[in-house]
Amino acid sequence: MEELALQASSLSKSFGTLKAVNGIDFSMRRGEILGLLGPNGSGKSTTMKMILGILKPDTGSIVVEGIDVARDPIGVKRIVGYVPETPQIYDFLTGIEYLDFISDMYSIPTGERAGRIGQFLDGLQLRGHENELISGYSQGMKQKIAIISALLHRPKVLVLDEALNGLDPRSAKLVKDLLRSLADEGVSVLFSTHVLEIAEALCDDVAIMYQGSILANGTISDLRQKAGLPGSTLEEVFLKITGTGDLGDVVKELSR
Amino acid sequence: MNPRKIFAITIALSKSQLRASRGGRAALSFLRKPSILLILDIAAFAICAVLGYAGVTLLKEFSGPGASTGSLQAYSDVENAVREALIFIPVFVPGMVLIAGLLFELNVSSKFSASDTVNWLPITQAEYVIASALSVAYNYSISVAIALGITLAPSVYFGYGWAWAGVALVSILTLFTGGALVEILRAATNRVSSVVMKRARRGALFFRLALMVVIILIFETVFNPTILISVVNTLSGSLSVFVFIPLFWGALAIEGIVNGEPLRVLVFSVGTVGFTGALVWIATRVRSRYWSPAAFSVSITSSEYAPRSSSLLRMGLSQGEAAIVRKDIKGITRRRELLSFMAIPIVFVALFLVESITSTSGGIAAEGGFFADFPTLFAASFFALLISSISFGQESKSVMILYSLPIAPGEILRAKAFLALGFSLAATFATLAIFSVIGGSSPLVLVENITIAASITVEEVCVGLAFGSRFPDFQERPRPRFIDPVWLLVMTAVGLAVALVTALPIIFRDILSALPGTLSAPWYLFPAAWVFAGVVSVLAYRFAKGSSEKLMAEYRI
Repeated sequence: MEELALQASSLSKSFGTLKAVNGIDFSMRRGEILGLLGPNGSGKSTTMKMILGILKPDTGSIVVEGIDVARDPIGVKRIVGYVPETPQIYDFLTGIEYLDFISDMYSIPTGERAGRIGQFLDGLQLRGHENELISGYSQGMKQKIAIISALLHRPKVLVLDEALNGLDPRSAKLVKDLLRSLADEGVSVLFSTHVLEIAEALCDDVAIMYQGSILANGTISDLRQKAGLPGSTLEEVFLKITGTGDLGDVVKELSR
Repeated sequence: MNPRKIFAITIALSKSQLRASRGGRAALSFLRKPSILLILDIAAFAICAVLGYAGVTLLKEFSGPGASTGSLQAYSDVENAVREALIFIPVFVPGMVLIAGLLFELNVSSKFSASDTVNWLPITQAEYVIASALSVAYNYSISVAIALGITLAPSVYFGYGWAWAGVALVSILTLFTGGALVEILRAATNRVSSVVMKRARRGALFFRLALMVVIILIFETVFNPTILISVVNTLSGSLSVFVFIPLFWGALAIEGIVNGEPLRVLVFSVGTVGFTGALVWIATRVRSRYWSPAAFSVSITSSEYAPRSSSLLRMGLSQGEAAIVRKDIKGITRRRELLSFMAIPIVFVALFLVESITSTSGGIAAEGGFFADFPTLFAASFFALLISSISFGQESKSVMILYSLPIAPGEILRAKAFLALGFSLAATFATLAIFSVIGGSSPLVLVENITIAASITVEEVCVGLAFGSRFPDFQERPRPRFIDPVWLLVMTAVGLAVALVTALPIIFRDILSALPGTLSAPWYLFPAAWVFAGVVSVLAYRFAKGSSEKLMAEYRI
């Protein structure tokens, strides 16, 4: 039996009358990159927050690397790296101060952190900006800081919510290659995105979420088969599965 | 200059302020329209006018035919009071607007203050400054409505009807003068921010707080009529010196009406208009010159990153707690919306000092006793309560970071308590040292004051944390409040009540020492106060612990 890095069972979450996540089940193998696809408001971010223990599920359970999130949320946070959809970084700190703060939180030894932070700063081309206040950073630079802070403590599981948003092409390519490399080393990655090309290029498996439910999951070729669209693009598969494909009337209306 | 644009911006800014300070309940949406301020002004004016009329009716009864000599003397005193009130209302209005501006306007984050609109909309700096000053004046117009309402009937009764009409006009103008002063202060503090930040190194960020306090203090002092009158009285026995102080020109115009001197009225009315115009011009110039249209890159240091073990760890904090403390210290010294929270208590304590120094009666040095102890008790209670109550809410939406990191709620609370206690004790002891020297406290009094002030500080920090962790407000708004405003009021009442109880030994001691004889407060009041403070602190901290656990259990923002 394959070792599971993450297992979510019967997961539900409502906000008032809105059912954000509706009894979903999914799992992720160790070293797998699982893409979570879905339109805005489909429940991807809520699911990711529940994995971190930031939100409590109404029903169901989540186990990450053998740790039950409900029982030991802090234990889970120690081994997970998380990039939220909109990183709310302390912008009164400098980049290096923020990364030092994060290092303290994960108890990264002082002797180790300078070298590790330096590698990321160089790789993501933030060198020279590390002593500047984050308030003066561009959106892409803030995103890079958020990505570095998720990777610094060598997490076993990465939960990345639209992590490539705002990145320049070079940095996006670097992060994608890095994720592939980490996955090969056994790090599991749950990755949400709107950009289907990225999912197609990066993910081992994908799960398509719509209105709080998982409509389909598997490899991309599995999904093509399920959708009855062999040889088609992931976008066509996605639009067919989510039933949002017929946009002709909307386009006509908007172009008037 | 386009009046329509000015009006549109004024309305937008007023809405921004109103909606920053009121809840979002749809049923109360009429409270969120700028017209509500006008309705409140009219209501306050009407209520106060009725009260003034009732006062006049009472006065008529007491001073009618057959009244005693005492009643006639009271009649004369009331007439003088009304006359002086009419003359000084226009002087006090700008100072009042300035204090309100200091409390409620200067901590507005630029991203919410609609000030960026000048970057991309066809609006001139002058149009924006006038609109912003108008909006500030409109927001705080209720004070003028109250003053005019209460003085209407007495003024008519004593034959100062025309003077009252003049006061109404001049006060509305000086309300705008106050708005213009707030604009200059806003631009001046921005200027300090940008200049210091651009050249910033670590020490400079602390320097910025000190500079902000000094600037606000200078403004508060220069435009504080009580202090000005004291200074003028010290410098010269003649009130003719007021002619050279523009702030008093409105009062001199009213005095001209009362004394029937049309030329004086004309000269000082025109002077007041000119003074207000000059302030608007200065505000526009300062803003035009120093407005930074975009966020600029600020390098804090050029030295290489060298992580080292925090000295806070040796004080018993965990690595995570120490990180939060260091982060929050940086926030306090760098975040504009927090600078005001730090500056306000310092300014208030400093104002006690300035008023004491400029007082013609000798102030604290002459009075001693409770006058010397009050600033310390004020700092110990108010500052501690304020700084601890905002410690959770000031995380704003970035609190999400704490939710995603492996840190326990108890550790977050300990870090917040450590910082609030450190700052508050430092502020309390600094105030105590200054006012003990001025008041000439004896060693025994000093020891008693230290123990009570420290007890109050600790209990207020715990009370502040209890409310701050239970009712935090993480929303980012034009006027960040960091704690639910209703609970802020409850907390203030609770905090001041427990501070009052703990301070009773000092209050008794000071009252008894002021009485003739050798009475002194019973010694056991002091240990009783320490025990009371200890019990309050423990209970409040335990409540805060439970609240922070509940708060951090799930992200509900």
